[in-house]
Amino acid sequence: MDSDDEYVPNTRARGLTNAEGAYRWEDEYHRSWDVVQEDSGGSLAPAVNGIIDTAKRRKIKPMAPVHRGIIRNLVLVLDASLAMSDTDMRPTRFYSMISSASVFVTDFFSQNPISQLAIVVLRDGLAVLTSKLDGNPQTHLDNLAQLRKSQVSGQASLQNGLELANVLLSQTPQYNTREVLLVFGALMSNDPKPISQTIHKLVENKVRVKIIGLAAEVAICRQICTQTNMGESNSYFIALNEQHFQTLLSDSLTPIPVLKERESAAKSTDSAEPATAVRMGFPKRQLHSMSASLCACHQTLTKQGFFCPQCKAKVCTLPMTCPVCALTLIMSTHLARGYHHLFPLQPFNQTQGYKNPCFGCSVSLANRSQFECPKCHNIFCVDCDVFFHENLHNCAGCEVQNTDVQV
Amino acid sequence: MDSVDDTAAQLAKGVSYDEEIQSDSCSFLVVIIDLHSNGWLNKSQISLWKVLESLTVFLNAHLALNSSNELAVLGFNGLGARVLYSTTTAGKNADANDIANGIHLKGTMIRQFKKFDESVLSSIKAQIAEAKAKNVNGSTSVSGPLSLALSHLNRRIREKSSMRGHILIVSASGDDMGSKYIATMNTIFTAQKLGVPLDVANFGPPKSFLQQAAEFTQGSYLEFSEKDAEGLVHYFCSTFLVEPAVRKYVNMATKSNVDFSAVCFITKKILEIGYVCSVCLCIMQEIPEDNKCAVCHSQYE
Amino acid sequence: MLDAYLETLPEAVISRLFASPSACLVVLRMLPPLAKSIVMRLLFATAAVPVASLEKFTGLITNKVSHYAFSRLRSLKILKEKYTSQTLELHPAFQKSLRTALTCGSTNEGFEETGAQIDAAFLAEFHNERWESMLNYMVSSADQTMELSGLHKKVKLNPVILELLSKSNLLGRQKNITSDGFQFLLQARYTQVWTLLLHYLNNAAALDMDPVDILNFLFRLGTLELGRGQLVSSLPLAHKRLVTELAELGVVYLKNDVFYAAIELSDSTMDTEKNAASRDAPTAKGSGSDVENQGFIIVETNYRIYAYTSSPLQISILGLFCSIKARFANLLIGRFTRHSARRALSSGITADQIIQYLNSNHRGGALPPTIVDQIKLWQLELDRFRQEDGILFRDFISTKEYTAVSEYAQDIGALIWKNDKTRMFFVPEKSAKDITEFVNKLT
Repeated sequence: MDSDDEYVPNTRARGLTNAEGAYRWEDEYHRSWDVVQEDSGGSLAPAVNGIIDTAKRRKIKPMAPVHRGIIRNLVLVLDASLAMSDTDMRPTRFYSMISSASVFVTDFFSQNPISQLAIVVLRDGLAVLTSKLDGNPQTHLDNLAQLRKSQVSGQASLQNGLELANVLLSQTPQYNTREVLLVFGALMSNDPKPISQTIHKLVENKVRVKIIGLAAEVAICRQICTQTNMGESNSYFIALNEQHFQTLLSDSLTPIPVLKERESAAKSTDSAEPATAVRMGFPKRQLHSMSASLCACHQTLTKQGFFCPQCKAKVCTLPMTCPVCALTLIMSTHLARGYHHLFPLQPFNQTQGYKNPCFGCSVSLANRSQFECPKCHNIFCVDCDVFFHENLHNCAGCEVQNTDVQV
Repeated sequence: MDSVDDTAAQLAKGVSYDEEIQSDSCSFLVVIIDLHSNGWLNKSQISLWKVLESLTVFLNAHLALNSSNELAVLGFNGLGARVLYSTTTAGKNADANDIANGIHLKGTMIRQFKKFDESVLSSIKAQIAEAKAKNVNGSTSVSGPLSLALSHLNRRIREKSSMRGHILIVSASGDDMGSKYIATMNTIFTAQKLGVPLDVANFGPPKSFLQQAAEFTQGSYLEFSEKDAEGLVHYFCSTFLVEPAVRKYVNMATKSNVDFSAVCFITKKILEIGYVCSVCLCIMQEIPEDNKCAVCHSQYE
Repeated sequence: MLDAYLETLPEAVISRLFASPSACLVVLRMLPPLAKSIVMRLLFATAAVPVASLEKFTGLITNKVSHYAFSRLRSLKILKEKYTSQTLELHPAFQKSLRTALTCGSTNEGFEETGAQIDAAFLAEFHNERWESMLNYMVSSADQTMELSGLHKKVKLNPVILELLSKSNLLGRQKNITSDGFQFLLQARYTQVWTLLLHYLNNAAALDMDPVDILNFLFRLGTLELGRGQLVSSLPLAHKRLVTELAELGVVYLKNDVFYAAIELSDSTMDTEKNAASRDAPTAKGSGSDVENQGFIIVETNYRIYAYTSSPLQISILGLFCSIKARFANLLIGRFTRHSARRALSSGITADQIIQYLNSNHRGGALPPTIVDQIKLWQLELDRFRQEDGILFRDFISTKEYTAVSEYAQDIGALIWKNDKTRMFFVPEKSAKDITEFVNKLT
């Protein structure tokens, strides 16, 4: 009897109750049609425009300029078990996942050009390496196209997938991040041994796992994510529909901040993601006008290529690891692609009452929502706001003024 | 029985309207003119006014090619970047003052060109004079006008789906990007993503980041010296006027040996092999002696 | 169209035309994109350019896109080739005029200005009203031909225009619409205007007026700024008459001896719909103005059509080939049925014309392929018989002989029909001789 009185269910932490301690069903019922209000003239246009604007700005979140792991090694684990033949995503979960994964691969390499990716597939209780750890997006896209033609079957095995990912990632140098992105559509896992052993190995190897579920929340997945991310509980998500799934995938495009505990530990003994100076080569491009020679990566005859400064081997594209001397070869512009993660653009504040046209595109702001940059105090329309935060990562107002930004 | 039933073949045989070859797409040209006085006076071998003579003919040609073509001119100097002229905001109504001002060309399209040319020239003169009056002669980086140009292009491309954009940078000053490296690279990557070619007409000393910009975005980079002064119109019209939609069919004239080499952030020497800090991605010639990154001060192990 | 007409003109006439900068500007705007770039490249060249150097720019002339561009330029006589030195240059008159135009040189082309001005929106409305009344007349006569229940009233039309329409074969003898007329209705405004103007030119030749002179006038008109007044009295007599007739059509606006250009003849998009729509719809647009110039028709895969328009003309045109179910203040709902499509097809509209009209006015991308295929299928249904004169071969002695001869017929492409069971096949008359020779050779 005593134990019953002392037992307080941890519903608050699990998100079942709100701040007042009431359950969700005890809340007031929000009707979806109450959200849309008419304005004084009886027109719905401003309300609709407001909803459209909010949807456009959904992706803008304040990002703190923290230490992030820019050079990433990511293993993408895809579920190809029978549960993926469900048609709640069109045409089936499997095909939808592969198309979203292809988009993810392209975006991943455009935003993180010096990173590497591998693809593992879970099928019939086994984990199969479909695409080796590589920095070239085309090979991965080709392998995904091949995967598309295959069939789903059998059960998924979380343990085998994670073990394989662990093996792949433990071969990478310490300064790279080690990440696993797992897409899990099943509700159970077919594991040969207790999975807690695998979780221990992952934590030891400083591997961080993020799981996107397609069905329902599975307790073991939550446990994996929490433990490998040092107690932070923001890496396990369930996709509600296709758009949400793509949004969750694209959230993984930005490099994740280095964990605080590890960062302080980094100052003492060796641990994950310490700061290192990585030796890299910056080859020049050269053309032979008359002759052609074999390239070291594909053994094809080419007239132009990049010559490794260390061993003078010719490679076709950058970024690439030199096949002869294993030096990482990149262009300085590849590094430049990652800078905006380190110096993100702060969100704009919504304001109103401004009479002049939008500073970014000269369009009249009479009937539109207005946003102000906190630094240069210029006013922009919603499309410029979205453009700056998602694509350009510069504020035109701050750039135009004669102010110097310290790197 | 071999019948006449080849319905599928008949269905496939339609109006062979080869869209790509025949259709016309309109383009939005943004010209960014460097108005720093010391650049044109000291570094360039051709004067700004000579360049502007040819540039105005080039702008007329752009407007002549297609009635839906649009144009914007941005100038940048010590005062920052300003929109000097934009077809989106310029009033299309003629004003009666023109007859009073004695513009003799009677009401034809040529008259519209003349009016437009004069409007642009007077705005340029005004911006230069203002900078001189306020004594603001510092140099500003090209990331400012580029960001402004890209946001204008973004707005028009969203509104009209057949619109393609391209940008021409007329540059004379010799300054490096300095502290605006990140911002400038951001604009170049965005231009590449949007499919906007960045052309460069460089009258000053060679600048590698502009060459890289042109290379990444399928634009043209040309350098001009004194001997080209009389032929500027020809160069402008034959290379920079090619519309973005047509560029994949032609071989554009551009500098081919683009210099991609990396530069050490500390010593400014050109590097072939260097060290990259894993935290702030700065490039160094060698690891500093105290084992700390010079830029972000993180301790290496 | 205009370029086809220009190609038919002889060299001397073209040289006269090219002397006018306005003409060169209008012609320049008509060229395909690559051709424009080629013209620009050669425009300010001081000497003739070698073919090889131009090929480096455009890729080999044999490649599809450059071939098209070069052939257009050659047929319009803009490009001149010197075979002896293998060089290319622009037509000298064209080059000179275009240079004058772009460098704002002085010309004597303008008309006498009055300084009066009219608002562009008013002119657009005027033009739309006149042009649509003419189109409405054509549609009402189409209705008569197809015996529709009359969505609109009969309109009266100026006899001069009626005359023009009949001479251009757009209206038949009894003022009913022809197949060409249907095609005319479904075309874009720019094409319609120039088609009529060109027919006018052709008729003018018969009436003893110089077509080149008129074309020149039209080009000068085409580059006029909209809304600026020009004196009529300063024009020669032939041009005065032309201006009056153009005013009837809605191409110019005539008032008190002053004429104003109502539309830009060189503008190939001729966005008259946009101007009309902006007058009609007073709703606030706000940030929803992400789209411009999109069509007003939505076609669904269940054969329903939704058209966001209130213009009676467009409603009538749609009524020609689909059956209208409901009509609201700004929306029209119709269905594509076999009946309505067959009705249109049997009056002379072709499936391609319908598809092209829907394509150019369709909102949001491509038409559903099911609908496109179904319209073509309905057209094919009407072609149930095909007639050919020929010879039937039969009574072969052995199957081997039959197979040999029928295969020979198939190889030379003459086989129209065969039946292996009864050993007969059918070839057109012209190939009969070859087959008989083959048979004789066999035996």
